[in-house]
Amino acid sequence: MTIKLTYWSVRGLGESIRHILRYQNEPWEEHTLTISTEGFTEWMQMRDADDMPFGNLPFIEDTDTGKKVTQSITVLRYLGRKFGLFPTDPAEIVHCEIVEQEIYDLRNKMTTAVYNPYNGFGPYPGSEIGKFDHEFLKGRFAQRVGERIPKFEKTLNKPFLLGVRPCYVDFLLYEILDQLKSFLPEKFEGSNNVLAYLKRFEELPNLKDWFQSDKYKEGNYINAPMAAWHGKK
Amino acid sequence: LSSGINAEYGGESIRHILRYQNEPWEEHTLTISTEGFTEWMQMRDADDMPFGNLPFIEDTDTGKKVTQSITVLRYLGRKFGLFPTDPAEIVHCEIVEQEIYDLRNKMTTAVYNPYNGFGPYPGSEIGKFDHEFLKGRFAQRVGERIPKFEKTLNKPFLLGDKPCYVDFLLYEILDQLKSFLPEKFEGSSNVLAYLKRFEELPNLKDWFQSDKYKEGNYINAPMAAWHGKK
Repeated sequence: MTIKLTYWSVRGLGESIRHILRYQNEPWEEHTLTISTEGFTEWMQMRDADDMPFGNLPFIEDTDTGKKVTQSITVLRYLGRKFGLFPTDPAEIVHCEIVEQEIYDLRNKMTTAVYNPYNGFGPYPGSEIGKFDHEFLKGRFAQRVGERIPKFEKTLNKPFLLGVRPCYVDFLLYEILDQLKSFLPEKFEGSNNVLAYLKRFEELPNLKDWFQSDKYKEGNYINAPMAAWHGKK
Repeated sequence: LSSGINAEYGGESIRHILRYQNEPWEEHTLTISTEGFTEWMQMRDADDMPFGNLPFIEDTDTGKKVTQSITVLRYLGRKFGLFPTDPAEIVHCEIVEQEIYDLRNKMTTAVYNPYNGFGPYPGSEIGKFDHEFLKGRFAQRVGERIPKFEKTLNKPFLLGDKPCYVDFLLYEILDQLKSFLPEKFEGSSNVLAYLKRFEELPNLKDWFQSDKYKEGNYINAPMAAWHGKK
């Protein structure tokens, strides 16, 4: 199986996929779309291609079979099954599925809080009426995060989500918690389990090399550069 | 089954699969009011609630709560034998279920004003919601997606002859979108045939022919810019 990942260069929804591939020491090809008119045009062609199930980024392609898998959760599950990082116990499966959807909800709501939906882009004009209030939406989002952190704190009373070793959801969970910690650091104060979890993830074999690399330390955008908050230090 | 309103998206899909299975269920409806909201906050922060979201179901035998509509559909799908075993079918189901969820999320963004105050929380003085603009952007997206659904629904149900758990999500989102953006469905014969076919499934047929169904229900909350009640 040779994996090709297509995404923008930012962390966003793609970084979780990169993490699980790093952990598994599975080399992959990265096809990066630039955030530009050219990148967008290229994306539109890929999106409407016949063999693309539904056009979304990120997506992976198994270059052996040509099969494309889209939707970050679906990709993580697909790779999780291939890499033996998928639970078999029914109660663990339900727990994983609740958490992965929660992660996705948080990611979606962060997106709503940081991207101005009224901007024009490419050939599409912006709105003359709509006005984006980032601080207000950030405040509402912060409230939600404040309600969720205690639940994460409670479930992370063990090394990883299901126990002693990571499963596919941990690659999504680490990434959202780390992104949220950059966005709303005050919400994480005193959450010892969560903070310990983040450190522990960064010390996993193979992943440790990434987190100690110069490339990582350079820092990357979490969201696109035009977002009201993009997370690049 | 606890849900916010009588026909919130994720809630109705759960009802459909229970109807199809002829599985009786108890419905706990929260009213869209201060009382309903207060009641919800208490439930949400309860110790045995994994993460507080609506809708959620509770297996009253075990007391176990399952939240997140996709997770609930998967849980019930497994219990009712409506979950695929073939790996390629599983991937296809998972891609489609996430796509459905994305569409539902983006519809939500297009119809609910995020700058409204509610309960003790004040609204925004700066933000201004442009429903028509967001509806337009959303309509573009839907227009791109329908051909993909049209292509995959060249068979009775998503995976073949019989429904699987995703069909209960898929019917609901397509029907809601057809109410919201009817022009996007013109000429999509496979999709339109699929919707009719779903409404004729055993047990579900009784629901779709009932007076209660014909009364019509809200798709979104009454305060949404578009709530879908005829």
